[in-house]
Parts: sequence; C-alpha cells; structure tokens
Amino acid sequence: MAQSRFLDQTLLTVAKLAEHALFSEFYARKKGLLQSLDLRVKLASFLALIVLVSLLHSLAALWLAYGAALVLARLSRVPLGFFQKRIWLFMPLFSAAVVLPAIFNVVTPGQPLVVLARFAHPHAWGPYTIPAELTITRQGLGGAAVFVSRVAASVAWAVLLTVTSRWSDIFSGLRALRVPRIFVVTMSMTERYLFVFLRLIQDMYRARKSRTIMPLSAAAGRSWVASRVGVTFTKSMEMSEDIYQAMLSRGFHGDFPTVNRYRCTRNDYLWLALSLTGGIGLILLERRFWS
Amino acid sequence: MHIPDGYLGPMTYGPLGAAVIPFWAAAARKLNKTLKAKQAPYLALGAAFSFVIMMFNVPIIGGTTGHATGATLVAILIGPWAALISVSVALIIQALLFGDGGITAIGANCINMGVIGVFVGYGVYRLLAGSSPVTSLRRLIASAVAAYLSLSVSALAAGIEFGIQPLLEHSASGQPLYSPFPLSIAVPAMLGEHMLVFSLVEALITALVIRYFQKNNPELLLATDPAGTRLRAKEA
Repeated sequence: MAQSRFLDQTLLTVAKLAEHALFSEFYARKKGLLQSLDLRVKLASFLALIVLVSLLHSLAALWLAYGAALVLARLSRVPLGFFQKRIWLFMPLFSAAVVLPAIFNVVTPGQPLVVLARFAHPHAWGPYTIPAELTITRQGLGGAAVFVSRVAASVAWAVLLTVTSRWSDIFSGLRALRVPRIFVVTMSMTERYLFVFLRLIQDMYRARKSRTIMPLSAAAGRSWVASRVGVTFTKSMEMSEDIYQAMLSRGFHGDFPTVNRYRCTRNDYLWLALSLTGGIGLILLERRFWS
Repeated sequence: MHIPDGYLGPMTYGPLGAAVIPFWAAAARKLNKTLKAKQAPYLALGAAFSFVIMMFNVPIIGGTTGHATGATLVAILIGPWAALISVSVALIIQALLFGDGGITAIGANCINMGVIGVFVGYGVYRLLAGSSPVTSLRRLIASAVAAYLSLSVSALAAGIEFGIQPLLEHSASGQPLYSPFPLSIAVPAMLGEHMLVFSLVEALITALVIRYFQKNNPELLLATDPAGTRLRAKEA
C-alpha cells in the first residue's frame, strides 16, 4: 500500500524517537563513573571538551579523543556496541558520503596521489574547472579523513553526555551554569510535553491506519496530514492555557524555584582537573608533534 | 539543514553563537511584556510543536514522503518573537538530547532556522498578505511563498557558512580542516537541493496547514496579525 506509506513512516519516526529517549534514560540511571559526577561539573567539562575536540587538527589526536570517549563509556557501564552504533549511525557515515567528492583535485587541488583519468585538455564552465588529469590529492584525502574523524569524535562526546545524563539533570545543570531561568524552564517543559505530543501523533496515525483499507490518494493523504498538524497546534495552545491555570492554582507567581542542591565532591574536582588537563594537553601535544 | 559538530570551525561557530544572543535577549524582553508569567507554558508548547512538526510525513510523489521544518508556519501562528524562542529551544533540545545538530553549531543553527527562517518567513508573509481577508487566497499564496523563501534563504546561509570554511580554516599545506567545499560548490549545492525539492515541500505543507486554519479556525490566524488586532478593536 505505497500510497499509505506516510502513515508507517510517521509511526516509525515517532517510535524511533521514543526508543532513543528510553535507552538514554536507561544507561543514565546506572551507577558508573560519569553518572556519579555533579551535573554542573559534568555539563561544563563536556561542553569544554566538545569545543576542544573541534580545535584538534590531526588524525592521531582526533582518534585519541574518540578512544578516550570509548574508555569513559566502558567505565560508565555503557555497552560499547550500543555506544558505537549510536555514534556511527548516522552522522559520521553520512558525512563520509558527503565529503567523498572533496578527495578529488576538482574540489581540493594539491599533490596527486592517484591519477584516475587523463583528458586531452582541461574543461572550464564558469568558476568550475575539470583539470587535464583527474586525481585524488593528498590534501583532499587528508582533509576528508580529518573531517570524518572530527565528526565521529565530536558525536562520540555528545552521545556520551546524553547517554550518561538524565535529561532533567541536563536542564538543571544549564540552570546552575547561569543560563537564564526562562530558557531552562521552557526547555524542561518542552521535553515533558514533547512526549505528550508524540503520544498524540501516534494515536492519530494508528487510528487512521487501522481505518485505512483502500490506498489513500496523495492529495487526500496531504490534506489529512495538514489537518493533523492543525489539530496538534490547536491542542498545544489549549494545553498551554490549561497548564498555566494549573500552575496558578498551585501558587505560581512568576518565579521558578529549583529543588536541586549541588555539592561537589573530591571526585568532581579530580574529574574536572583531569578532563581539562587531558583536553588541553592533547591540543598542546598535537601542535608540538603532529602538525 | 541541522549543521552537525565538526562541519564548522571555531572562527565561524564562535561569532554565530555570539550573534544569536542579542536576538534571544530581544525576544525575551518582548515576550516578557506581552506574555508575562504565561510565557513559559506558551513557549514550551510552541517549542514542542516546532519539534514534532518534523515528525509529520506527507506523501509527495511516487510513494515518497517529506516533512516541513515549520519555521514560517510557527511564526505565522504564534508570532515571530515567540517563534524565534520556540524554534531555538527545539533546536537546542535536538542537539543536546537527540544528537540532531551539533552542540558547537547551536548558534549557527539558531541563526539559520530561528532568526533567518522565522523573520524571512514572517516578513514575506506579512508583506504579501497585507490586510487581505483572513480566508483569502492571497494569504494562502503568501504563506506558501514565505515558507519557500524562508527555507531557501536559510539554506543559502548554511551554504555560505560551509563555503567559507576552506578559506578560513586550512593547514599550511592547503588541507581543509572543516567542511572542505568552497563557496562555488557549497552554495549551489545547498540552494539547489532546497529550491528544487525541500523548499517546495515546505511551501506545500505550510499552505495546506494554513488552508486548514482558514476553513476551521480562521480566528487563530489573526491572533498574531496586526491587521487582526485592528479588526477586533474595530468590532469591539
């Protein structure tokens, strides 16, 4: 039933998102190294480390940063198979496909490594030129390898943060790092109601699928989806009014007090010192020996 | 459209991250005046809607499906300042919790889709819709053109950000360190795929949803429309 494929596609997208959330929270509740850290320390150190990874230029340093993320995942009781699957599917593989044309001298001129084709003369179309020799260049291949490695290392650290932290903790951490309260409260409420909406979409699509016995025309399908987007928006506005009234009835007066009490232990200070020294040390090492 | 980590160097993501802050501050000031204490649930639900709008797959042609990013639609429905915060919050949650879009690229993504996407979409819609009746064909066409241009200009911005990487960040031997494609490739690639496919899908979905509201809840389309405010004042 190709014409009703959009129903399955949407249900699948919603299910994948829910699965993603479920597994993230599952490992975040385990007792491991990163789960035990103070959330302010953890969030600040991870944001700094992700920036430090973006400053690395050599393959060796990038893969060391990737390896460090694997070690920490293991120490935090995150299975490496699950962790690597989440890293590589989908961004680094997609990036590898995107960057492929950049290995050729058409995009990245430089020292030729392999000559793929020879033409009688170069061809030029406006700003684009195909040289007389089509080659893979050292600069092109090197740039592509660094690019994919950087994406993989960055995604590894970002995934490590999300799978070892409860989402509510990330929001509390942002608040503790002086992110304006209105942003943090909005984010936290968004996360909560996101799942209400996902459930609503799932129910609407399941109901439609269960009543669909004939293929839907594309036009009918589009109109139906547009009406569901409209219904979701209308419900969201009604819900926001209800939530506001509920907040008022519980004594809300425009302030958002937080109940988290933060306390850094010796381990938190040790982690902060080690992680930042390691990150900065890796950059210095790279600049000294690998660039 | 969500730029991941590793595509932009610090000389690009740093200034873009700084550039988005005054927009957020202006939006917060504006909304504090209009929404007051109501703003947290209103913006949160707006952000959740911005997030889930990408889940709605629509049949296109030959069994293929597509989805909208929704920046223009959200701007038309809740106003540009609330939309800027809602889209930004949705993008930050996608980056921090779902790994969709990079953490270092949050500023760039919020500039492209939040600031440019929302304000180009809303500006073009207001310009073309004028003070036409809320159920008019003119408004429907205005929403489609606005959505088309909004996504295309956002894609152009992303293309420029990718394209300046080889100029800004390369090794001594000329090896690119971040996105390796020059402006002459990155801009046409981003603009081409969006203008020929994604922006058309965005325009189609936006117009269909606006048509739904024109038929079923036209009052909602006037909520953030200065013409609608004047109309209600006259009626009162």
